[in-house]
Amino acid sequence: MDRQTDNILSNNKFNMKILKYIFSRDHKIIAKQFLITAMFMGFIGLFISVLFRLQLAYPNRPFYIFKLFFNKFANDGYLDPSFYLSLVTIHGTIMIFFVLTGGLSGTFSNLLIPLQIGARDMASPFLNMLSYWLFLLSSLTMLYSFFVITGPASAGWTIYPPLSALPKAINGSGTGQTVWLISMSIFIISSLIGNINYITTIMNMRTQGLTMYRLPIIIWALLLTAILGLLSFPVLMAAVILLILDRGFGTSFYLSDIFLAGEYLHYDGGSPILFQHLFWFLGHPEVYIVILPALGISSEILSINCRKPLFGYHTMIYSLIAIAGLSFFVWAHHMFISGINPLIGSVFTITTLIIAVPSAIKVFNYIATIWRGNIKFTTPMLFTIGLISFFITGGLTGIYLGNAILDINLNDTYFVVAHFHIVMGSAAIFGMFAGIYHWYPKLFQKMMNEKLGHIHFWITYISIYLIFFPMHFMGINGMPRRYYDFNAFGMFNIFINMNKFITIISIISGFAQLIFLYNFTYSMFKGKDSSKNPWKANTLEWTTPIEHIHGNWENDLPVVYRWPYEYSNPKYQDDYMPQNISDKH
Amino acid sequence: MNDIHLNKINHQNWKLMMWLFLISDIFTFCGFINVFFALRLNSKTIWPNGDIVFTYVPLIGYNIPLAFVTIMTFILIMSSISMYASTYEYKKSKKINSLIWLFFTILIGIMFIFCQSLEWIHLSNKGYWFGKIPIGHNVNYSNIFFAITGFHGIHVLIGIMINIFIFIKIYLEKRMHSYNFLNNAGLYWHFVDLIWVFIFTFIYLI
Ligand code: HEM
Ligand SMILES: [Cu+2]
Repeated sequence: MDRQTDNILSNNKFNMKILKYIFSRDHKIIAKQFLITAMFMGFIGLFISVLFRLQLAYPNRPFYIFKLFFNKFANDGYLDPSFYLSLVTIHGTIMIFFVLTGGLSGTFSNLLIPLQIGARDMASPFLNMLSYWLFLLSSLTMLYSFFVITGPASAGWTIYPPLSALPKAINGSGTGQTVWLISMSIFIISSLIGNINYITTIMNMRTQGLTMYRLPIIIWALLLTAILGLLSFPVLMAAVILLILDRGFGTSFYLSDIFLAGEYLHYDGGSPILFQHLFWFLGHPEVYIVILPALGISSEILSINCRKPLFGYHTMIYSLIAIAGLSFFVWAHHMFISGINPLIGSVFTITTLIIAVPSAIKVFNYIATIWRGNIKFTTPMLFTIGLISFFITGGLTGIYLGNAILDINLNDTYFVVAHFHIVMGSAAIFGMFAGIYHWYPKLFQKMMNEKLGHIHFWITYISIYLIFFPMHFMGINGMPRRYYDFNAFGMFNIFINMNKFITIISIISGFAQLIFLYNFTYSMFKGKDSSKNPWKANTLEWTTPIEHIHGNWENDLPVVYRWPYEYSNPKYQDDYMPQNISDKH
Repeated sequence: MNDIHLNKINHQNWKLMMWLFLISDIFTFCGFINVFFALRLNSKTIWPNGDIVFTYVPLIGYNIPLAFVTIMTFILIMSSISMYASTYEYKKSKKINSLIWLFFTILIGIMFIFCQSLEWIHLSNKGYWFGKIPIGHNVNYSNIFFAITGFHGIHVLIGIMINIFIFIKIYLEKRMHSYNFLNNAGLYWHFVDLIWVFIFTFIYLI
């Protein structure tokens, strides 16, 4: 054993238990840190959404809870209109960046990459730790914006100028927006460090026998996610730097002849559309950064719980690659009504519709995997089925939105809200839940409670459809997104009761997440002990000892002899055949 | 043990990480360059011409178009060569030679930053700055100019600091085991130079 391995195995600088947890460089502990931070942020995001749903359902009624939490922004319990925008902005930012980007790929890349490729740790455990610390720092910075006098940023998660570029535009454009930009810069650095590490680990540290075409799909998905992040976040960085210059240094990259409160501002020659191009060059790959890990997780869980080889393993990889590649060429479908050249609109319509093809192939493969499988309805399996259901429903509306002609009417309405909440929000969150339930035994050596898991699934699944499905109809009827009070418009009166209904369901589904939280924490201490390979799975992470050790495997690293989906092969006695067992034995 | 070669892998890891970082950084610069072209092609007022803006040559005179920046480009490329020489000598275990070349690289880097500061000061005296430009011209010209050259300048500064760090490291070390570190620092330095060539072409020349 050489020095390096020695170091990893006996990295006992911080022997005290707490310190060991906090300053750990062990990828399994960093995975837990990512997960817990993301869950914390997720609950805040969820809570915010329930609050602004309250406002939408009962616009003219004061609520004590507003006063309790945001005293200065809720006079006598009436929510401040510009603060409503802040809530929407922070909700979106937290959910998309902190839960579904940092949390989802951060947790599962850290947990699964070394364990499934048979490595002792990440390529650079130190950078890995740094990546988590920066992530935590940026999360806290983002939350700090609630304590700023003028309130958090309020230009939406897309921070379009001029609202984000003129510090005096509205309350949230001031310090809150600055804090947002600082937090996001830290986040970008954290994700850059993380992604570099993930890619390097996958490329260089696979164990003997583990070729690229023997990798579990989830590793492919995490690899492509990391590549997408590596190439798209820097462009947001450039956009953010220029935005900071616009805000503080009098430049006018995104601004031209503009009046603020009757006063003429001396900006000249810039264009807000420029920002939109830069932003969506990140923004569209970003939605795939969010969904690819979830799709990867579901591939694993489907195959394991159907006790069948994954259908179309290679096609699955190629369609992942195609999605990742194409996602760089569709960004302007978010900008059909921004005043871009209609010709560009048509080009992007075509590329957008093309990207639906590999997505459809994946769905087809999922269904073919389920087809005539010996399905085990475990909690992770249920969440995976839910994911597929959402991916289909939301993907279909994506094709509507991809057509410039339809999108001109639907853009910025609740139709878009429904589309992306179903296809991105819910599908990816379900992927995350599935992953947590499935790999909980690996994380905490205990099993989660199945019964509570089922209850959690059914309430969440049904309420998501009840919440977001009606929104399609609201959108088709022209209801715009990010509005504070719909009762002010006579034409939307027909939706008053619908809005109340949605709010009530969202409160119920919010409470259902407490079941999950309870299950999560309770099982950590009192859950049933897990066996070494509780799901009878083939991948390498289930060959490590139950108790975590530094370096993952006690003696030699495992050697891989086969692909990861050898289920129900009549050649073998068991209905599964782990990757590290050779035929000769 | 079948993971005996971990140490070798470790070197490859750092090299790959460096490359990945550089690829990512290319995208940041591409973002800026794209903004440059978008602003320039959509300009409704006069977009100043490089020949007219950059005529200043310190010590000599005032009206040789692009002479100063050509000199700057030239010395930066020279520093790439000296960086290469330093790595080359180090590989052949000639520590002193390697240190001398590295010293030149650092010196040239500092010179470049010095020249750039001179140019910035001069331009700001002529009325170019963030949000400022001589009347009648498109203000985004100076905006994007300072943004891109400033961002590049920060990269050069970081490069100089890395080089100084590694200089000290090599100077103090007893066994020569910094080759990979030096090599990665070299990669970064060549990258910064290469980016400058593009900036020179896009912003000054055309
Ligand atoms: C079949 C594939 C898909 C197509 C054709 C499609 C198309 C579109 C289009 C055209 C828009 C712009 C609508 C508008 O603003 O007017 C949009 C918005 C959006 N899509 Fe998709 N989409 C697809 C899949 C996805 C996936 C897989 C995700 C995420 C995992 C996603 C997440 C989003 C988000 C977050 C937005 C809203 C962005 C915003 O304005 O805030 N979409 N989609
Ligand atoms: Cu998109």
